[in-house]
Amino acid sequence: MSDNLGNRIRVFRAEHRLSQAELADAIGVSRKTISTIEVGRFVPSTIIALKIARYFDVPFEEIFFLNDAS
Amino acid sequence: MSTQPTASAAELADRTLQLVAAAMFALALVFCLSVAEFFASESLAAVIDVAVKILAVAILGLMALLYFWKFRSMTPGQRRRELAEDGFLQIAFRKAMATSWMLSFLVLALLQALDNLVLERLPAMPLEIVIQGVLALMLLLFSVAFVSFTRSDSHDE
Repeated sequence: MSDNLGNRIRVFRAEHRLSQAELADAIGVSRKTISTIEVGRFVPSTIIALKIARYFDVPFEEIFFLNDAS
Repeated sequence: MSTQPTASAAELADRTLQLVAAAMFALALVFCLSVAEFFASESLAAVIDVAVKILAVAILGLMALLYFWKFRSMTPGQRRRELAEDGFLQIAFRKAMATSWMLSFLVLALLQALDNLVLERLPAMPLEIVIQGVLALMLLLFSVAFVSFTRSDSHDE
């Protein structure tokens, strides 16, 4: 849905040895939601994005970033 | 006997939406057949009439069966909360609703504007058939939009 919002969810998942389904269960969304966020097809709501950041215990901007620097 | 992992409330909510979308497509087919029945010959109309009734009963039966089989584990509160979440399918569902409304409006407005080119050439139709045609249009546009928004790119793990 947007090419502007990048994310490092896949990296964090790999570090924590988590599958998409496990992460989805942990933050209360469906696996489809996680997979589409990961590939940049779906821009998550602020609440979902904050839940992901809180789950990995890192600031929001360590996971999500703008691709367009301008 | 294999044990299936219990689906989370979010997964069940996704399946509910997919089920609703499938039901809307099936309903669109029922309305299309009803409209076709009006234009068909008498013998063909009788066949279509039976097909519509069978299809309608099958849709209702299948949806009721799937609903009670899949979603009885969710409490009404859970169902309400999960369906209102801003997950991928929930957003796609809302976008498909908005898109189908917008396109239906455009098609109807265009038909109204070009009434002497299209509408006047059609045989006179009872109001019931016109309403069924509009409903079929809206539901088909919704189905196409929903499938297009949710088509899988296989990035799942």
